[in-house]
Amino acid sequence: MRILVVEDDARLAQQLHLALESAGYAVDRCGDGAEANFLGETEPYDAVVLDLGLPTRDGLSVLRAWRGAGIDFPVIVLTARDSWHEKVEGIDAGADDYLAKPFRIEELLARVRAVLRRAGGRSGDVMQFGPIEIDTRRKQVTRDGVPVALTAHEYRVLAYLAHRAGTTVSRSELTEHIYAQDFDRDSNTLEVFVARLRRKLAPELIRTERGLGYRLDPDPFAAPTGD
Amino acid sequence: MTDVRAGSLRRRLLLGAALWITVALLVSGGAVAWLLTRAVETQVYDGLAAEVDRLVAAIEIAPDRQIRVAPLPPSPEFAKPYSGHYWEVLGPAGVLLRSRSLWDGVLELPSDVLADGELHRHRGTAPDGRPVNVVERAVVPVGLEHPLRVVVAVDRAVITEVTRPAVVTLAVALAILAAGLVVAAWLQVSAGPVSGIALGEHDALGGGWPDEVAELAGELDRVLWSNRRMIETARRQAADLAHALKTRLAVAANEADALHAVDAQAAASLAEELAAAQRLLDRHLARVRAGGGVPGLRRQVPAAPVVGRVADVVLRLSERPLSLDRQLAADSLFLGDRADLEEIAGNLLDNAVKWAARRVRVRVAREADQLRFSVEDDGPGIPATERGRVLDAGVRLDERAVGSGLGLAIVGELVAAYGGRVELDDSPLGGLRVSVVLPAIAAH
Repeated sequence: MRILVVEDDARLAQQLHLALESAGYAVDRCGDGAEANFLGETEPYDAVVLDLGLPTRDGLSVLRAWRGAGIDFPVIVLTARDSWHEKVEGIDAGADDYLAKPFRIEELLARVRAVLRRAGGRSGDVMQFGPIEIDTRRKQVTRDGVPVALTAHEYRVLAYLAHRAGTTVSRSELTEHIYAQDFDRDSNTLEVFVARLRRKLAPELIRTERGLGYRLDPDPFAAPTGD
Repeated sequence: MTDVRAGSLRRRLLLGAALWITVALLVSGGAVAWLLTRAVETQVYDGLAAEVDRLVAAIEIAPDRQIRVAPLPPSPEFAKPYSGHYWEVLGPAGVLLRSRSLWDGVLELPSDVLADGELHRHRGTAPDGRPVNVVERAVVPVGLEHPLRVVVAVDRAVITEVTRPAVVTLAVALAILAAGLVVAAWLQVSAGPVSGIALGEHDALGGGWPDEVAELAGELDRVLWSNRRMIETARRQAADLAHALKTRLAVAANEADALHAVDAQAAASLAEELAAAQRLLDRHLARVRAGGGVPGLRRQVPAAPVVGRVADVVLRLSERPLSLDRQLAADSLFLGDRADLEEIAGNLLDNAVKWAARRVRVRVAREADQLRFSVEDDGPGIPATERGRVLDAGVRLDERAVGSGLGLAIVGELVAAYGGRVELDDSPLGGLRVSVVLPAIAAH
């Protein structure tokens, strides 16, 4: 899961970056409206945390531009302008949620999980695949109730495939959603992560669709139905 | 822009207009009546002159130098005493002959010396004391050395009789015209944009005024404009300051959280201080934002769609599966700043949504020139003894639902700025009902 944080205050941006990263997300950061607009139009984010008071271009106009261009990633508006007039305006501009400053980091993380959950059509923070359980709130994976230690990148690969459960995810899509923009990407490492996940969890959990990508089925351990 | 001042200005304009309309119509009515009377008088004089000529023609001088009139004028009016139609023939010594209508009196005439054949007009008095119009001619009949004055007179009432119906009709027509003009002036004065600004229908007086008023109207518009700009600038600066401060508060609060592992007590008291600072900031911001006292920022806002939209947003942000009962009367208006109504609605609905078990009801209705807006829920409510305190600054009766106390205090501030009132009572749903009464139409 890749998240864009748009916040012009360097200190707060840093705090958000760290908190989101340790919650298991790949994080891009920018502090400028025009740049945010460009990033949103070119990078496939899973969610955006958007401050409204930005240099060069106001956050609301950036949001309207994204929605106007048909870009539908969930956006959590983060602002000190917390009058109801501005909340209504923010929702009308296409925001999915609205968080007034000052806020607690936990509150923001809960909101991020909530918008991702809604985008993935899930109802809870815990995803179950047979004996495998992924708790996105605690960033913890268990097999038959026993915690399994995963590296940050292994977790991101698993979380993204689980988020898109039932659909085949191409290698390039997977790459775009687990690495931040400035990260030196190497698609070969993707195979390494998938191999390690199969070994640590279950070989049949992640299926390889030859030439297409990877897929995590909602019920990967069910007996084949024959079709 | 108080109504008292507008009212007295309107009254003065109206009085002035009525005065001028009356004077103008009196003068023109008088002139028409005078011209009419003159025309009738001229006709009457012509008639009298004809009578004089008939009399002159009928004068006979007997050989004994006695003068007589034969035949007498045929008109029966000259025979009837005091009929209003008279004639006389005067010699140098006085009245020689007279009509029977004069009975034994004579006409009072101004002394006059006429050349032979000359015709004169006079005003005189009949024996009964009534004013008469007189025509006389001097003639020197054959056989006489001295001239005779042949006089015919008619009562002025004859003239008035002819002119009166016309003058009465004229007066009635002019009075109706005057009334119409005064009514038109009143409409012109009372439907002006000044009251429109107080009603929130216009931003400015605009152009198209008479030269005398245009300068004043332009000046007023400039004042209104700079007033609005000043308020908008102040609000924007307050928002910018709040943005900067709150971002710092957010950073500090997160640092306090991080400190928790090191010194839990210090972290907790720091967090408490930061929360208090935030409440203070919120409250003062709400006060700055309240546009209620500023007539230039008042608009007639249709309340139902605004409240409905805020309710949508509140429900969406809360993510609670509640049933919302909307009773929003389409004709309900709010006179003020749309953002203020949104703030009041947002805070009340947010509170209700936090506390409700399953149901929330929002109602907007027009009551005479006021707007009644109420939000109720089926939550735990507030005991009657505690209700007075809720509207005080930031008092929280329960810490479970964060910020609920502050929300009501902000509503209290805003409603007070509009001169409205807040009422708390029990809802038929079982929880609290908060009702707010706000202006909908400007009081005159």
